[in-house]
Amino acid sequence: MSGMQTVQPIRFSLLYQSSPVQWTCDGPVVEIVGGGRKHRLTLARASLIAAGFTTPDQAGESLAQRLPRQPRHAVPADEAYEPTVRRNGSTQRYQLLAALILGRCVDGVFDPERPHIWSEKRLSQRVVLFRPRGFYDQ
Amino acid sequence: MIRPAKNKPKVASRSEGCRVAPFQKDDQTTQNVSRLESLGVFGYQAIEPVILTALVTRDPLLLIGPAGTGKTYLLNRLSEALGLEHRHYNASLIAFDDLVGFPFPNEDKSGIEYLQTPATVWNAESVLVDEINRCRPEHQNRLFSLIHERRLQGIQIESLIHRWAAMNPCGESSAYDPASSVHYDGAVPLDQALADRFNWVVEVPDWHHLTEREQNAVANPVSDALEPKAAAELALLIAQARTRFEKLLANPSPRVVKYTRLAATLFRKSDLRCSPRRVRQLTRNLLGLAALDDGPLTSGSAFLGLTWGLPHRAWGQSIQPEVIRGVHRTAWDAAFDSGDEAWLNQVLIEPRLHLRVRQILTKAPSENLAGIAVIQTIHQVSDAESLAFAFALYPAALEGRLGLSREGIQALAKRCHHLMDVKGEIKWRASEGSKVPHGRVVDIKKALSRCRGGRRTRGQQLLYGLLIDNKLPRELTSLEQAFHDCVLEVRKRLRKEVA
Repeated sequence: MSGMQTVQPIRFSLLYQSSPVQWTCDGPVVEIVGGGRKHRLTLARASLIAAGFTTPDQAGESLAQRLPRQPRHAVPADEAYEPTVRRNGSTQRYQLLAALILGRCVDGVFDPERPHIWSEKRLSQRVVLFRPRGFYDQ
Repeated sequence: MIRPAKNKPKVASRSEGCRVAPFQKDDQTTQNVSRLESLGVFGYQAIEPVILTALVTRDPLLLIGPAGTGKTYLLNRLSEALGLEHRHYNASLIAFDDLVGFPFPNEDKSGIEYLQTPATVWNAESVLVDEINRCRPEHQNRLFSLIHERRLQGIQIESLIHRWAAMNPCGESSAYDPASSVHYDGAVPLDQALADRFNWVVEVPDWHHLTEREQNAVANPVSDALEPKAAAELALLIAQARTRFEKLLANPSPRVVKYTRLAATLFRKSDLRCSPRRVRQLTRNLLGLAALDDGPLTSGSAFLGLTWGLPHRAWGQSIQPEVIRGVHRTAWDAAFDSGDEAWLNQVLIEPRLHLRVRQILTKAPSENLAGIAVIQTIHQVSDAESLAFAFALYPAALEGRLGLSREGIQALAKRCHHLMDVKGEIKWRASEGSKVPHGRVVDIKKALSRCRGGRRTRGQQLLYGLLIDNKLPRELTSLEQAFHDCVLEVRKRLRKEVA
């Protein structure tokens, strides 16, 4: 085949680019930070116990007010756009909240009615939650 | 004025004789003797209700089958049993004058009359046009009005009740009998307009379809004299069913009408177009089958009606049995099921996406069912439509504003999650220094050129998402429009909720 290989990057986003139907970023990047090379699961369990809970369900019930009540669109944090997203600290309380969210993120959706499933894979995610605002307005 | 000469003596029906050995029943092994078997016609049991229904409804019947399968014998036998004034023409041999007779001016020279012969059609009650796909196109045109309107040269043939035809297969191998690959010289596909006038287009069984008992009966060259009792019983059966048919026709079951309407819509998706006329014919066929059964239409009869009520085989288009089964199942469930299942089927047969969305958002009996309808739609429609459907619903569903089950929301998320943030690259080869963009990017820009604001942004996400997935369909404008229509349906729902 003759001619030069041409490559065109494509990027269209409702999340990070300003558009008539841009979605609302709902909170900081959700991740379990700190703890060096420790497993995220270990960190999450430690923060659970430190907060005086014995199970994620118990913590989820008690801290429900601090968690999103509606499902959220959860996307992997995009390093290119992270400067636009608020970061959060590495306190045990924050680690616990992050674990309670990440344990309910499946297939790109955070669903507050899902059971808490804590696995290393789930808790190692770094996600940003979005609310679909304005999608139908225009 | 042109009209046939009146008061000519009737002639005995003319037949070329049978082209196959007459079938004889084998009483020793027959438990329930079929009507056709009692007339000495064997091997037709599977399609017997269709043949008898054609007698009840008096609609045109076309038999397709290899040489020697008893098509002509069957039809001639039926006319004999019913005592009909019968004409049997071979379309490949007959001259048109044979049908109408020799024309001559009437006494006051105001019109033309036709000198009738034993072969002319004017007093016929049943007509069999054999080898109909072997005649010249101008003859096909003349036969058209005979089959369609019972007219010839513009003159109504008042006596004519039954119009039958027979032909050898043409075109693709039969779906009914994929092993059949016999080619018939001179057998051409029937003109589609003519084929569409036949309510019934039926493939007849060949030797290998027959049971051992039937094969024995066919192979036995015993005399084929017609039993008067069998003939009388057939005439009575047809007359009684005809009375019931006329009643059904006066007040057809809405479910039967719905069934044929849905079936026609579904056939279209499988590239089997049904003309509006065909849909009407299908309804008549089904009512005829119900009249013959003397009861409500059964699923089995409806399936038979669909199988042999399509004209496509006459022009050589094969019809896959699984397509008919699938269409029948869906249409039957939608038309005859009740409650939740009926609603779900109704949604799933709706071809227009936005109307599906409307039904899901406004008429779902429960969140669970709405979710099931969403999940099934995602898996049922094309990739592009599925993505458009999911993308239109997902944002509102995520906020819990559409009354969908969690499973439904999850399915939407899984399907279109990546569209919120479309990232990727496209590669192509272009001549050096050329700034010509990728052809599909040009297509997308063209499709979105009339869209503004939010509609444009949404359309962009959808179409570029499909491009990155390598699933972008050829036609983009209609896809974008369908997607936008779905968005409007959701918007309507949200506004109603606010109000």
